Amino acid sequence: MAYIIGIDTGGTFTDIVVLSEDDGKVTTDKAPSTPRDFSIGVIDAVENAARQLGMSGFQLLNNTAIFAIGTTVATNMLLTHTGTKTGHITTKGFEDTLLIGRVNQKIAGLSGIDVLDLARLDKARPVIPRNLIKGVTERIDYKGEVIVPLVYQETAQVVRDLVEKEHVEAIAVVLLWSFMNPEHEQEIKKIINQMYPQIYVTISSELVPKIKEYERAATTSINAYVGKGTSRYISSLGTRLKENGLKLPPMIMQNMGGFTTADEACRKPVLTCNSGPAGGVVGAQALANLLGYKNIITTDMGGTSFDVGLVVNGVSQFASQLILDKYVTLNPTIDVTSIGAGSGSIAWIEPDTGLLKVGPQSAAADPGPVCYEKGGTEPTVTDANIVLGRYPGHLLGGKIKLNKEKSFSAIKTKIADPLKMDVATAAISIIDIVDSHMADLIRKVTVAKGYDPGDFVIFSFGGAGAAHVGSYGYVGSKTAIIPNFASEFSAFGICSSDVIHINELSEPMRYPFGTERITAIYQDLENKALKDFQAEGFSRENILLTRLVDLRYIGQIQEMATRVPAGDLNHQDMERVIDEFEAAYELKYGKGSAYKIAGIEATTYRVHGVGKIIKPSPKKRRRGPANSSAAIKEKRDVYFRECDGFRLINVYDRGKLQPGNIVEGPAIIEAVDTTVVVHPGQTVKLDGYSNMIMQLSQG
Amino acid sequence: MQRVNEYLEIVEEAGEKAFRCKCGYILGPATDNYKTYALKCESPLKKAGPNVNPYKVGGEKFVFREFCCPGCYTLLGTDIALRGEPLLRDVEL
Amino acid sequence: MRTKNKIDPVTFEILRHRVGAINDEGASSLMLVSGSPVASEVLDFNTALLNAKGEVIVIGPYILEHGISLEQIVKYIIANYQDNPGINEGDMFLCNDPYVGALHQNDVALVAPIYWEGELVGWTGVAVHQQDVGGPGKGQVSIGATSIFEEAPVFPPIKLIERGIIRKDLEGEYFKRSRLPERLGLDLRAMTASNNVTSRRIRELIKDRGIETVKSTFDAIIDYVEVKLRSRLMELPDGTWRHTAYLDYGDKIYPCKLTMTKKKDKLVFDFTGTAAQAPAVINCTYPVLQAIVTGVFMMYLGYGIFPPSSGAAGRCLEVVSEPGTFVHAIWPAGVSKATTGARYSVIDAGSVCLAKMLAASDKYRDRVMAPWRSSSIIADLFGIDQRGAYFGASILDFMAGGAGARSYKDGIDTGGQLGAPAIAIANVETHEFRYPMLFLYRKQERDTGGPGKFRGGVALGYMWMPHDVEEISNAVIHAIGLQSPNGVGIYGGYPSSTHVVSLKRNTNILDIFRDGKLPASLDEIDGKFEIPPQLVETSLKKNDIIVGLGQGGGGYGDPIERDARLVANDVTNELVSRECARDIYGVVLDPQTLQPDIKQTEERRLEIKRERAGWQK
Repeated sequence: MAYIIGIDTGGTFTDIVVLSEDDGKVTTDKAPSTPRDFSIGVIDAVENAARQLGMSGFQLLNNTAIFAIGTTVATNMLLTHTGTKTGHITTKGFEDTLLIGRVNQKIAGLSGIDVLDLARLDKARPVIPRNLIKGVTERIDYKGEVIVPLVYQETAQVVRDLVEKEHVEAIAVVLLWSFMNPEHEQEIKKIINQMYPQIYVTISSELVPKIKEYERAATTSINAYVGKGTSRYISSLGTRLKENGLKLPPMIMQNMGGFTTADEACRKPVLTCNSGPAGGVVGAQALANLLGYKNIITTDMGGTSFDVGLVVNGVSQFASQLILDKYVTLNPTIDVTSIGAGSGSIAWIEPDTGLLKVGPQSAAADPGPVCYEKGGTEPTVTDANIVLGRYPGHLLGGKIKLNKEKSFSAIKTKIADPLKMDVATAAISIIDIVDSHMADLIRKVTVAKGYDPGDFVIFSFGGAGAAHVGSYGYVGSKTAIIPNFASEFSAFGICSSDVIHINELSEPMRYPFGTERITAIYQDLENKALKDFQAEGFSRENILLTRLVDLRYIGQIQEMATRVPAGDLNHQDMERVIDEFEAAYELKYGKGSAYKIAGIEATTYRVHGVGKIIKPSPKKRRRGPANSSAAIKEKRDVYFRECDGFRLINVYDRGKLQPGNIVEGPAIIEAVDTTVVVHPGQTVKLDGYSNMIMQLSQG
Repeated sequence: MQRVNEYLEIVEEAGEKAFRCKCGYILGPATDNYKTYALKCESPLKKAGPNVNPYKVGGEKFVFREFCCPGCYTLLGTDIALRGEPLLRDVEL
Repeated sequence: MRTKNKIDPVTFEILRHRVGAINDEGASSLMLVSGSPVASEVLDFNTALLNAKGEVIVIGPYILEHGISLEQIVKYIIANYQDNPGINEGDMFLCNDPYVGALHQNDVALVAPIYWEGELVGWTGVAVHQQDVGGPGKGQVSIGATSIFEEAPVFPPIKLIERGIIRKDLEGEYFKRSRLPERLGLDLRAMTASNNVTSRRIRELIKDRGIETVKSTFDAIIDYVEVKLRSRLMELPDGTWRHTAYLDYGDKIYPCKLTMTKKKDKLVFDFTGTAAQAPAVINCTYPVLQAIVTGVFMMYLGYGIFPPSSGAAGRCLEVVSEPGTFVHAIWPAGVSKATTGARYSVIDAGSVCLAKMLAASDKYRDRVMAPWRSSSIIADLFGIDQRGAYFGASILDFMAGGAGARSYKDGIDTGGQLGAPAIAIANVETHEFRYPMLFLYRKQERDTGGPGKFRGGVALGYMWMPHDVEEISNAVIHAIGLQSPNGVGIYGGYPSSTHVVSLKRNTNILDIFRDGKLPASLDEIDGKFEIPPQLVETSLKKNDIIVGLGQGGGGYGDPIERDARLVANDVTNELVSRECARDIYGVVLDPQTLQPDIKQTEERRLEIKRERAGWQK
C-alpha cells in the first residue's frame, strides 16, 4: 500500500488528507497547529490519520510516496518581522526604490474605505532598513548594454561591510535591467559566495527576471529575508519526518498551485507565501475535472475571512502579482481575493447613524463567538446562526459546546433592543448582511471581470461555507457544490497537486519580433525546466511544458498572457499568436478595445512546466435511492426569511446520507465539521463521491 | 477651557478669555491674535532649511516668521509670508 | 436610520455596499479598457454615480476632484439641455469646459443618464486626464497665453453619443486637433465602456430590487453620509481659521486667502481677498473651486465613511469667492494649468485650516495632518524616441512628494498627494523602456520634509538625461512652488523644501561613464548650469542633464521637541542632514556612532531657546 499525503498548516489547525494509491480511498484528519514548532502539529496530524487507517504514524510515513505540505512559516516570518537580518545591494542612486514603493505602497492591498483614511496610511514596515541598503557603481540600459561596468573592489567592500560590520545573514541583489543582462548580478553573487559562503543570497535575475524594478526588489528582498528561516524549518521538518519513517524529502506547496522539492522551496521561499488558499483552488479544479465542470467559482469561508478564486475552462486563474504585507511581489500566483467576512465577524451598531453593520472585525477563534463561552461578548455570525436554529448545540462532534442562551442575550442587548427589533429579525439581518458582502465579492471577481456567474458552479468549502452558500451563492449560478471533507479542502488540494516550475524572462521587444531570439529564450527556459524535472525523477512523458508570452498594445498597461507554439518559431507562428491575443483582448475588454495601430509589445516570456503525478482516481460509491428519510435525525425549529419566521424542519445526519439521496429544503444537514443550510426551493443531492450538490433556487 | 492646538488653550482669566501656553504663561486676550503677544523672529527663507528656494528663484519675496512663547520659548507657530505682509491671525475660537 | 428616507435599514446596508461596488466596477472597466498609463498607471481619473438631480452619490477612491466635478457638469446638462439637444436613453455627453465643471481642458468628462422604462433614475460619469487635446502648447500648458482663446480647445457638453450611437462628426471634431488622437480614441472607448457597465449594473439592480427601492437607496446614501459628516462637525469647536497659500507664476505671486468658519454643522470657505486672476494658465473656475474644497474636506473629515459621497459633503459646505480672482476666474481667463496651479493653492489653504480646526478638539487631534506636497514640476516631452517613432510623455515623478506630519507621527515619506491616495509613479525601467531617457538617480531627498516634533514626509529627487537619441526636441517644463514652500509647518513645525529644477547643458557625462563612474549629484558633472524659468519650452540634447527636487510635507510641533533618537535615525536613513539635525532640531550626533550626544544636544537645545529668548514681541 502506498500513500500520498497532503498537509495544510493553518493558524488554528493542521489538516491532513491521505490518499491511498491502490484504492483511491481518502482519509482526512486534523491536529492543533503548534506555532512554536509547526512540525510537531504535522506529526500529530499524521498520527491521527494513521490511527484511522489502523496503523502507526511510522508505518504510514514509511509507505508514503509523496508527502506534500503547505506551510505558513515564510508568511508568518514576514508578518511578524522575524526573518533574518538582510542586506540589499542595488544600483547606486536607486537605494530608496523599496522605500519609495512607487508611492502607492501605502495603500497596497487595502479596500476602498481604508484607502481614503489618509491620516492612518503608512508604507510597509521595511523588511530591510535603509542603512542595510547599499548602492554599487554599475549601470545597464534598457537594451542590456553596459553603460558603466561593475567595480569589483567597491562591491567587495560593500559586501564586507554588510557582513562584518552589520552582521547580515542574507543579501538580496537587485540591479536595474538585470533581466536584460544578468552579468553584474551574477558577479555580485559570485563575490558574496566566495567571500562568505554562509550568507543566503538571492539575485533578482534568478528569482524573478522581469521588468519593474520596485516589484522585483520587493520579491527578491522578501525571499532573502525569509530564506534562512524557511530553510531551517524545511530541513528540520525533513529530519523529523525521516526519523518518523518518511523515505523521501517532503514536497512543498507553492502559491502558483503546485508543489516543488524542498531544495527549490529553500531557494525560493517567497513562493510558499499564500500557498494554502492556492491549495483550495487547485483542489476544486481537480474535483471539478472529475465531476465534469469547466467553470467554477471557489469560495472558502472561515472564521475571519472569505476567499474567492476562479477556474475558467478548467484552468485556475492567475494573478501576475501578489501583495504581501504591502509589498507587491511579481511571481505569477493563483488569484485569490479576500474580504474580512467569516463566521466570527462581529455585528455592531454604528453610533451616529444607528445602522446595523457586520465585520470587518472578527472574534476569530479567540475569544470566539459569544456561544463558545471563551470570553467573547460581541455577537457574531455564528451566534446569529445558533439563534436561528441553524447550528446544533455543539461543533466537531461535540468537542465544542455552543451556548444558545448566551448568543440570544448578546444579540438581544447589543443589536435587537437598540434597533427595536425582535431577536430573530436581528439575527437574520446579521446573516443577510454578511451574505451580501460575500456575494458582492463574488460579483467583483466574476461580473466585474466580464464573467457571468450563471456559467459557473460555486464550490463552497471552509468550515462555515456550507451554512451560507445557499444565500451568498445567489448571484446567478445554478449549482453549488459542497465537497466531501470541505473543511480540510486546502490539504486535499495540496494532495491533488502536481509539481510545477514556472520559468520566466522579461525582454521587452516590439513587433515585428525577432523569432530566432524568442525561440532561443524559450529553449533556454525549457531547458531549465527540464533539468529541474529530470533531477526530480520525472520521465519526459510526464512533463508538460506550455509557452506563454505577455503581450500588450504599445502605450497601454494591460498585458495578456498568450499561448505560443512549441519548437522553432517562425514569423507565421508569431502572427498567429498575435491574432489569438487580439481576439482574446476583444473578448475580455470589449469589441473595439483592440488597438492595432498602436503596435504590439512583448514583455515577458514564460514556460509553465507541470510534472504530472499519477494519482489514483477516487472510487465512485453505488447510487442509492432518492429518498433520504433514513438520514433524518431530528426535527428542529429553524428560521428562514422565505418562511417569514421559524418552521419545524428536518435535520439530516450527513453520515447517514447515501449517494443518490436527495434532501429538499428547507432542511439542515449536519456533518461533524460543517452544517449545510438548505433553503426552501433548494435541493441537495449526495453524489457518488460523497460531495453534496446543491441546486440553488432560481427566481 | 478650550483647546486651541498642541501648545495653546483658551482659559478664563479675571473674567476675560485669554490664550495660555501649556507652560502656564498667559499670552494675551483671546479676542486678539496670539502672535501679537509672542516673541517674533523674521528671517530669510534659508533659515527654514537648505532646500527652501536655494537658487532664489524670483528674488527674495518671501520671509520666514517664527513665534515663540515668552514663558517657555516653545515655538508656537511659523509662517511663510510676503515681505511686509501683516501678521496672519490664523485662529479665532 | 435617523434620516429622512424610509428604507428598511438592512436593505440599505446591503445596497449601500452594492452601489459602491458598482461604481468601483465602472472604474475597473475604465482601467482595463483604456490601459493608458495616465488612467491605469498614474490613475489620473475617477468615476461617479449621481442621482436624477445630479447630486453625486458615490465617487471612486482615485483623484477625488475628477469624480466630484461631474456633479456640476450633470447639473448644467439638466438645466440647459432638456429640450435641445434633449436628454434620452443611450445618450452620453462629453465635456472639457472648465466654466461648466471640467477641472481644466485636459480633463475630459463623459457623462450618461441612466433610464429605467423611460424614467431617469440617475447618471453615471467618468473624467480622465488626457495628455493632449490640441491647442498651441504641446501637452496642457500654452506658455504665454493671454486668455483661454490661446489655450487648448474647449468643448461645452456635447452629445457625442446619441441613443447609443457615436456621432462620427463630433468624434472627428474632438480628435482632430490633438497631437495624440489615438490616445484620445482609446480613452474615449474606455470611458464609454465604464458608463455602460455602471448603467447596466444599476438596471440589473432595479430589476432585482425594484425602482422605488433603488431610487430611495440613492437618496438615502447621500443622506446617510451627510448625517455622519454633520455629526463630526457638531463635535468640533466653532471658530474661524485662516491661511494664505501663495502661487508663484511668472513675475508675480498670487496669494490665495482663505477664511474658514465653522458654525455647528456647517463650514464656510471664504476666499475673499484672494489675488486677481492671471490672464491665463494657472486660474481655476468657480465650479472647480467648489470641487477642490469638497475634496479637501473629504480627505480630512470623510475617512471611514462608505461610500464616499461628495454630494453629501457638498451639502455641509459653502464656498464664498470673488469673481475675477484666480480661484474664481471669469471668462475669458485661461485655466489650462488649473489642476497644477490654483488647485494646489486651494488644497494647501484648505488643508491648513482643516488641520487647525481638528487640532482644537481632543477627540479629533489625531486626525491632524500638516499640508502635503501641493505643487508640481511637470516635464511634457515630445519628439522622436529611441526607435524612431513620434512620442509624447508626461513625466510626473513630482507626485512622489511628502505627506504632512501628523500630531502623533511623521508624515509619509514620498507619500504622494492629498486628494489622490491611489496615485503611483512609474518604475524607472518603465520610463526608460518607453521613452529615450536614462535616470542617474531617483531617491528620497534629504532635508525636504518639514522639520518638527513630527517630521513632514520627504520628497523624491531625480536626475535624468536623454538616452539613445541625439535630442528630445520639445521639453515643456512647468513648475510651481519654486519660490515658497506649500508644505508649511504647523504649531512650530518648519516648512518643507520648495521644488527645485536645474539643468546642466553640454556636460561631460559620457566621459564620466567611460571612466567607469556614476555621478551622485550634478556637482560631480561639468557643464553649463542653468536654472530654467518656471515655464519653459526647450530641447534637451544627449549630454544635457535635468534635475528635479520635490516638495515634502509640512512639519508638526517645535523641532527641538523631537526625540533625538528619531533625528539620529533620520540622519542614518539619509532623510535629514547632520547640519539640519544640529541647526534646526538642536541634535548633535556623535560623529562615530551617529547616535545623539545627549549632553551636547541638551546644550544646543538650550542655545536655541536662548536665541529665541532674545526675540522681540
